[in-house]
Amino acid sequence: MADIRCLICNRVNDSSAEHCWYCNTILPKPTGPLTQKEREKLANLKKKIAGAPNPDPEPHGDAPQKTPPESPAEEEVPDWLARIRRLKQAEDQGPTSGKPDWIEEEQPDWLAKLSQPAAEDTPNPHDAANRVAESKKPALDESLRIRNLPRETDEEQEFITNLLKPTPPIGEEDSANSSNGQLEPLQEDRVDDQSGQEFPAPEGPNDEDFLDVEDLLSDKENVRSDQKTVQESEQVLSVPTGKDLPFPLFVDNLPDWLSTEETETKQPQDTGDNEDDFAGEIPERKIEKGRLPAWLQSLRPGVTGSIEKISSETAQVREDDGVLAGIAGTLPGTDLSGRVLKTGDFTQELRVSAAQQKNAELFQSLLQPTREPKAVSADQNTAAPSEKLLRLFITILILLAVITPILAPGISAIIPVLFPTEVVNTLGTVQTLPTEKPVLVSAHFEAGLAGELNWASQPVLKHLVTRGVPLALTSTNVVGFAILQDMVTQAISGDPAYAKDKKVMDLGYLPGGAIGMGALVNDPLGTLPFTTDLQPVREHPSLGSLNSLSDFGALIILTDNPEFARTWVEQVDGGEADLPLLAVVSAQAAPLLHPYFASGQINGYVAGMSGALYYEMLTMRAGSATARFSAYQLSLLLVAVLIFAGGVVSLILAAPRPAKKKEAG
Amino acid sequence: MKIVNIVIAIAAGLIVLLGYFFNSPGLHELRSPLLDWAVTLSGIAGLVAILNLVFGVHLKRLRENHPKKGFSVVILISFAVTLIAGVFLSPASEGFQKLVTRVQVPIESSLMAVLAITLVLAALKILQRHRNWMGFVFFLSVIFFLVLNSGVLAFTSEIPFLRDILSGLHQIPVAGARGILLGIALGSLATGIRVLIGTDRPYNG
Repeated sequence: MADIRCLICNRVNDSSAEHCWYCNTILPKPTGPLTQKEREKLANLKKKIAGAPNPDPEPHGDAPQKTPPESPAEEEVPDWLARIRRLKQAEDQGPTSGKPDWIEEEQPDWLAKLSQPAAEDTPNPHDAANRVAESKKPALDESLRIRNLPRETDEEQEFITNLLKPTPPIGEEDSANSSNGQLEPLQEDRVDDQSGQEFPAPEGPNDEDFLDVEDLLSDKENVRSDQKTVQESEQVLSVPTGKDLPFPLFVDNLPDWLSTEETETKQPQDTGDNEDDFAGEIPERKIEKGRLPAWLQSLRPGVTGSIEKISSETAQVREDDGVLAGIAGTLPGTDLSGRVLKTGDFTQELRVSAAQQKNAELFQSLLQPTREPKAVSADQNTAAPSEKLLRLFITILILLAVITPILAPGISAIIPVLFPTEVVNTLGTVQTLPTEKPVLVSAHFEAGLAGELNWASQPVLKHLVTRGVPLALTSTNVVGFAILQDMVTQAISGDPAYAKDKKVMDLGYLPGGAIGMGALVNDPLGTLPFTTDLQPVREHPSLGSLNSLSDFGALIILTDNPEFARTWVEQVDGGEADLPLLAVVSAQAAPLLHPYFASGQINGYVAGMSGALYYEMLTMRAGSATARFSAYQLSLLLVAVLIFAGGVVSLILAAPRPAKKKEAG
Repeated sequence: MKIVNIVIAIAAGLIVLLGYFFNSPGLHELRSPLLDWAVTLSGIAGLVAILNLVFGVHLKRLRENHPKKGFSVVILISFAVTLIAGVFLSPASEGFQKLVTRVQVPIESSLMAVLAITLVLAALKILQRHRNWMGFVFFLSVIFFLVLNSGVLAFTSEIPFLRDILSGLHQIPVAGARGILLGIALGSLATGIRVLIGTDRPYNG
């Protein structure tokens, strides 16, 4: 048995095969001998073909769309068609050149079109089908690109182009052809164009005289059987997929992406549709957008955002510069200026409790650099006249309270009878100091508080001078140095036996604050090697044996600043020196110094005028404090009364007035 | 360059700090020069501050015709007189000391007197601006301790009950001072830590 050639892929299969081995298409089956009726139809067909005015018409007018657009000259012409053509040529060369009348009358339109040369303005249906295929080709390519599928080879491209040609509905075609009785010739041409192969001749008489007719009949039978087979196969394949499927014949064999492709392409009802109709079909064909994963879509916003937009932009873009200058339709580069790629935040959430958060903020605030304090601008012109009058009144009252007791000695103060422990301890320490060891007096105070400190320090200094204790003076601020000299001079003035030149040594200004104190504690001679008159300390008669801080009899601190006292306490207590530490401070520093006294780090202290008064009372030497204490006491009482009166008046004047508010309301 | 400053500051701070805790001769040898340098630099810093005050502030005001250049003229004249007196009389001279004490002490004492009157006025109006329980506590505390420190309650020493009460009240400022000292200590510690770890850089200017 002869092999069967596939109508689709044009490949040879075994005769026993029902489907093509290559494309799985249903293969045409060999048919048996024709019936009498069929033979009559073929005879009529032969007569019609023989009487056709144009024996070589364009056979592809309504050719099936599956035929590749190849030139007929290049095709392999079957024998039966060659014989028909030879017969036709013989008839054309004969004496009877006119056409019969029945042909002229009954010639259908399609045959008339075939006999006439193709007009340029009339679109060739075959070309139109090719244009449809070509118009669908980019969409298919785009679909392939979206799906990231490999492009087809040349053979596959040709195959797909043929598939995309619009195919008229088979049922309609059948009905139309059967109505006018032109089925057989159309089927013949169609089959020829499709296969272009030589079909096996049917079994039957092989007489020489009857050769032409028999061959023709056999060929026609084969053609008809093939046509039926193709129609059946098309109908079978088109049923499950429906008319709208673009690839009705090979749904089973097509890949998923191609078989599920949606189409809105209209099947041309007439092969004579013009180009405008086809041109209108192109944008209507929509290809399903690629369904990319979310992560891939987020990475390719410019690509997956709008393919249509890109294609439309591509047609409008015309490069102005660069290597593509002047070329239209180039792919525009994606604007990446606004594209921000963010990496995912995979950090674990840190769970912090409220207490931990508070502690962290506190620690952070401790580690933050200190901020510079803002200067407060003093507005001097904001005081009202009544305010100025009040200031003047209070100033006069306080001045009277200070001056009156001094000018009137008859006004006596209430003298306390209980002596503070710190003052008593100070007196006891000074009383027990060795007279051969000098006492280091360190000052650190401002000139504004020099009066209070002078009154507070005089009893202690006088006590030391009385006992003949040598003094070594130093100051950690510049002003304190000069004022201390004046205080000592004032204290010595009451005891002419005390030799200032021999027993008082002025070491001058000690810079560096706490650092200077620490250096002095560790190495006194190294820190202050010279006196203010530029004499070496070692050559001084009272300080000749001085090597360390322990060689001093005591350390007395004169300050109005508790910070200074604290620093001295820290330096002396942390060092190796073991010497008494006394302090003479202003009244405002006393509360801050008392804890050091309570802890034993300070042996005693005298604070303010009250402390000086106690010290004078203990030593039974009346001094400045005793003389001025009445003024001090009266001033304090007057200030207390003024504040109390002012507070009461403020409460009364600033009280809410509900009656006025109601009236105003 | 900043990193060098930070390293030097941290190293110096650590050496001095360790010298307080460990009585090591090696640390002592390192610590003493550092302290000497610091003292010397402090003195030079004072000199630089004086020069800046004279040339960077007041002489600049004179050159720029500042509206308050009159005060600058007074300051420059005072500075020149004090400098000349100190050079020729020496700082140990009684005359030079009186030049300081007879001028500077009255001026600053007057400012302290004005401050005292201002504080009294502020205390008068405290209840106008802070009419809350903290304002009342402050108001009563000021009056009570003014009276207590004046010594007019000395007669209570004969009354055991009142004497104990007043003695206890005397300790209240001390208790407050302890709290302040604790705060100061913590602040000093934090400051030291900031300097040691390089967060606070007072040496950068």
